[in-house]
Amino acid sequence: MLDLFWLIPLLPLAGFLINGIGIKWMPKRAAGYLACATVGIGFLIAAGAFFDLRALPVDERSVTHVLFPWITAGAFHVDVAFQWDQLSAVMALVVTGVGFLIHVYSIGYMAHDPGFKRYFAFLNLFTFAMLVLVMADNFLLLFVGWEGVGLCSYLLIGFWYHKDSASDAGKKAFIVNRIGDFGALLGMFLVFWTTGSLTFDEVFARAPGLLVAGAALPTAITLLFFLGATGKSAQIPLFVWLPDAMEGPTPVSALIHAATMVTAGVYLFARASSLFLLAPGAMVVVAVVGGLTAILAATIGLVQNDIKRVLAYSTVSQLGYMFLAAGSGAFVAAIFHLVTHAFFKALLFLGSGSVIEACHHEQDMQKMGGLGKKMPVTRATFLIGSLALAGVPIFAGFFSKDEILYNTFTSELLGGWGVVLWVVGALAALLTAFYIIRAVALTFYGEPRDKKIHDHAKESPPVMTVPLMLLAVGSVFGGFLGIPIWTHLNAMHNWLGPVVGLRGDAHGAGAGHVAEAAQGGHDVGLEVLLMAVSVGLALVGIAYAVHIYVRNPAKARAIGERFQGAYRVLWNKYYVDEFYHAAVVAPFVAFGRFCWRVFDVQVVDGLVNGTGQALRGLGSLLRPIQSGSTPSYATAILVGAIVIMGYVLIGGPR
Amino acid sequence: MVTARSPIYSALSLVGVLAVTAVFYLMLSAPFLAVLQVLVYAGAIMVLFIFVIMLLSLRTEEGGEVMGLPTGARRVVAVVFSLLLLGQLAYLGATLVLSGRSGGGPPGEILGTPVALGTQLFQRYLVPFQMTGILLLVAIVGAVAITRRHGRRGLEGTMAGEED
Amino acid sequence: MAVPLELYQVLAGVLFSIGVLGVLFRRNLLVIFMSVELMLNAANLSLIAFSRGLGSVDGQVIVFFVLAVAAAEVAVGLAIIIDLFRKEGTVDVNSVNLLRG
Repeated sequence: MLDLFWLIPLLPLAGFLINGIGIKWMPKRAAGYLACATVGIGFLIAAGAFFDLRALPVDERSVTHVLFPWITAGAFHVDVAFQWDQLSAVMALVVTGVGFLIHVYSIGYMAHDPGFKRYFAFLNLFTFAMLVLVMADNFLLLFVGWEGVGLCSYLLIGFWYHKDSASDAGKKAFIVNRIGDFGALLGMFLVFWTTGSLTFDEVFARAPGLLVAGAALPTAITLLFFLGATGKSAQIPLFVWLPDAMEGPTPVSALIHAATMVTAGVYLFARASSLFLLAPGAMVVVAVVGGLTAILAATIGLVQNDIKRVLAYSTVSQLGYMFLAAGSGAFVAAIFHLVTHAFFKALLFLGSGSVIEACHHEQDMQKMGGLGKKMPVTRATFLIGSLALAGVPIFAGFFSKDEILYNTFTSELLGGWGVVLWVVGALAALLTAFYIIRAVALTFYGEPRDKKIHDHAKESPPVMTVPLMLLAVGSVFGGFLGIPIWTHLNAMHNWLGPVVGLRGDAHGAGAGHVAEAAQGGHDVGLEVLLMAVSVGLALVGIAYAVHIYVRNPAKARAIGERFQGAYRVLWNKYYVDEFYHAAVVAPFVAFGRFCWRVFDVQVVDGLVNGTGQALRGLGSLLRPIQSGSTPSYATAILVGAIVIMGYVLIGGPR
Repeated sequence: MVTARSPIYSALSLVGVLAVTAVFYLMLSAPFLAVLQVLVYAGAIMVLFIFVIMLLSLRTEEGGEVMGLPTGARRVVAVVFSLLLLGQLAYLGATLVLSGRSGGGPPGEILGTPVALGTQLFQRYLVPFQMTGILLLVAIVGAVAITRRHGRRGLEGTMAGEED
Repeated sequence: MAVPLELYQVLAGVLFSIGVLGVLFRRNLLVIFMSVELMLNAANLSLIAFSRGLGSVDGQVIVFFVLAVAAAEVAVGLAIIIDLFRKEGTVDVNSVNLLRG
C-alpha cells in the first residue's frame, strides 16, 4: 500500500472533476456516493500506507513520490512530489478519516439542497487541496494546497451565494486569508534566498548551517510564516473571518473550520519546526499570541447565542492552544491536540448541524431547550464531544490539552513566560468548560423556550447519526494515543518525535519535545499536579454552568445585567470588526473612490478623450488645405517647384 | 494671350506665338521641327482648341473677368512666386555652360535634318517612338470614351440632335 | 549677327513665366489649358536651343516626343473639359471643387 500513497490526494481530485464537469448529467445520489468513496478509499490507502510505514525502521520512515518535475529555473528546482512520513501520515489519516465521516453526514444534511452536486464537487476539491497541503514535499506545493483550501473555503462559505451575508462572509474569509498568505509568501522567498531550495529535506538539512540561531533572518522567516498561520488558522489579528464563516453549511464548518483547513497553520509549524526553532524570540511571540487568542476567543464564546458561533470561537480558542504548544517547542503536543480537536470539534459541529436541521434551520440557542428528550443520540454524542473539549479525564481533550499545559509551564524556550502562559491557558480551560456546558444546557436541557420548534424536532436519520457516533468513539478513545507520564506508552510521541522538533535525534522519543529533552527528564510529580489543577478548573466550570443554566436560568440574565458593560463588550466581540472596518476597510474604500473619481475619470478618461479631441482639433486645422479649389492647388504646385529649384540653385546636396 | 478678354482672342494669340516659335526653330537649325510645329501644334492642336471654344459657345463674359484675380493670399503668393520663377530662370539662362557659345546664323551644317532626326528615332529611340504611337492611340480612345454620352440629354449648344 | 544662346533661354524663361501667370490668374479652364501649352512650348524652345548649343540632335528628338505627347494630352484634356461643361454648365475653374474636404 505504501507505493500507492500518492493516490490519496488524486482520488478526491478525480471526484471533483467528475462531479464538477458532469454536474448536469450525474445522478444526485451517485454524486454523493462518488464523493464519499474517493475520500473513503483514500482513507483506506492511508491506513495501509501508515502501517507499511510503521513496519520500516525509524530512520527510513520517509517515502517521496515525484509526480512530475515542475519548475526548473536556473538554480531553482521544485517538483510536484508527495512525501509520506510520520507527520504527513497522521495528517492524511485525519483529513481522510474525519473527512469521510463528514462527507457521509453531508448526504443527509444537504439532501434537500438544490446545490447538492456542486457541494460535493467543492468538498472533494477541498479534500484534494488539503491533502496536497499536508503531503507536499516542498514549500511551494504546500502553498498551492494552502491557496487551494483558501479558495474552497470561499466557495463553500459562500455556498448559498444568493444570501448576501454568505457571499460577504466568503469574501471576508478569502481576503483576510490573503493578508496572511502575503506573509507566508515572503517567508518562502526568504527561505529560498537563504537555503537555495524549497524542498523540505534540503531546507531543513541546510538551515542550521546557514542561519544563526536567534538572528534577524530566521526570526523574520518565522514571524512571516506565523503571519500566514494567523490568517489560515484564525489567530489574533486575523481571526475575524472564522465566526462569519459559519454562514456556510454546517458540515463545511465541521470539516474546514474545525478539523482541517484551520489546522494548516499548525501543520506548517510542525513540519518546519526545526527551522523555526532557530528563532526562539519569534517562538515566544507565537506562544504569546496563541495564548492570548485562546483566552480572548473563550471570553467571546461565553455570551454568544448562536450555537455555531460558540463553536466557532471555541475553534479559534483551541487553535490558540495549538500555537501555544508550538511556540513552547512542544510540536508533538500541538499535533496531538490537532488530532483530538478534529474528533471532538467535528463531532460538536455535526451535532449542532443535527440540532439545526431538527429545528428547521434555527441556530439561536435562546429558542431551543429541552431537546435532549427528542434527540437522544445527538444529545449523547454532543455531550461526549463537550466533555472532550472541556478536558475531562478519559476523554480525548484531556490528554492533549494537558500535555500542552504541562509543556507550556516547563518550556525552556519560554522561560519565565511559560508560567504566565500556563495561567492564561488554565483560565481559558475554565472558560472553555463553562461555555460549552452552557451551550449543552441551553440546547438540550431545561424547559423548551419555543413550543413550535420543540414540537417539530426529531432525531436525525442514521446517515447523520452514525458519523456522530463514530466521532464520539474517537473523542473518547483518541486520547489514549498520547498517554502522559509513561512515555514509552505515548504513541504520538514515539511516532512523531523523530520528524518534528530538532532534527537529527533518531531515538524516536523526546526529540519532539524540546523542553523535555533539554530538561533531560520528565517531572512526573509536576505533571500530575498540573493535571489535577486543570481538571479541577474544568469541573468547576462545568459545575457552575450546570448551576446556572440547568437549575437557575434566570440567574444568567441577572449576571448579565450586573456586568452590563462587560457583557456588551463581549457580545460585540471586543468591537474588533468595527475597528478593522474603521482603520483598514474604510480608508481603502475611500482611497478607491478617490482613485475612481479623480484618477480614473479625470486623468485616464481625460487623457483618452483628450487625445481624441486633440486629433479632431488638428484635423480641423488641417482641413482647409484640401479646399477643392483648383487654382489653390496650382499655386501650391508652383510654390513647391520654386522652393525645390531654389534649393538646387543654392547648391543643396546633390 | 493671357490677358485677352475672350478665349478666342487668347487662342489666336497662341497661334501667333507658335508661328513665331517655329521661326525660332528654323534659326536654331531645326527645320524639321519647325515644320512639325506649324503642322501639328498650330495646325491641329490649336484647331482643336478653337473648335471646342466654339462648341461650348463661350461668350466673352464667360472668361469675363479677365484677370479674375484670385482672392487675397493666393494673389500675393502667386505674384511673388511668379517673379521668383522669372528670376530663377533668368539666372539659369544667363549663367549656364553655354556662355560663349553662339546661337548664331546659319551654320555650315544644319543639325536637325529629317535624316538626322529619323536616324535617331529609329535607332536609339525606337522604343519610345513606338510607345508614343500607342500613347496617341490611347489618347484617341480615351477622348472618345470620355465624351460619349450614355443616354444623357445634352446641353444646349452641343451638337443638337445627337442622341446615343 | 549671332544671337547668343543665353538669350534664347531667357526668352524661354519669360514665356514660361507668362504661362504660369496665365494658369494662376485666369478663370476660364480653356485659357488655363492654353497657358499650359505655352509653358510646354517654352520648354521646347529651350531644348532646341541647347541642342544647337551642344551640337547634338538629341534635344530635338526630345522635342519631337514632347510634341507628340502634347497633342495626346490636349485631346484628352479637351475631352474632359467638354464633359465638365456638360456637368456644370460652365468652364469656370472655381466650379471644379468636388474634392473639397
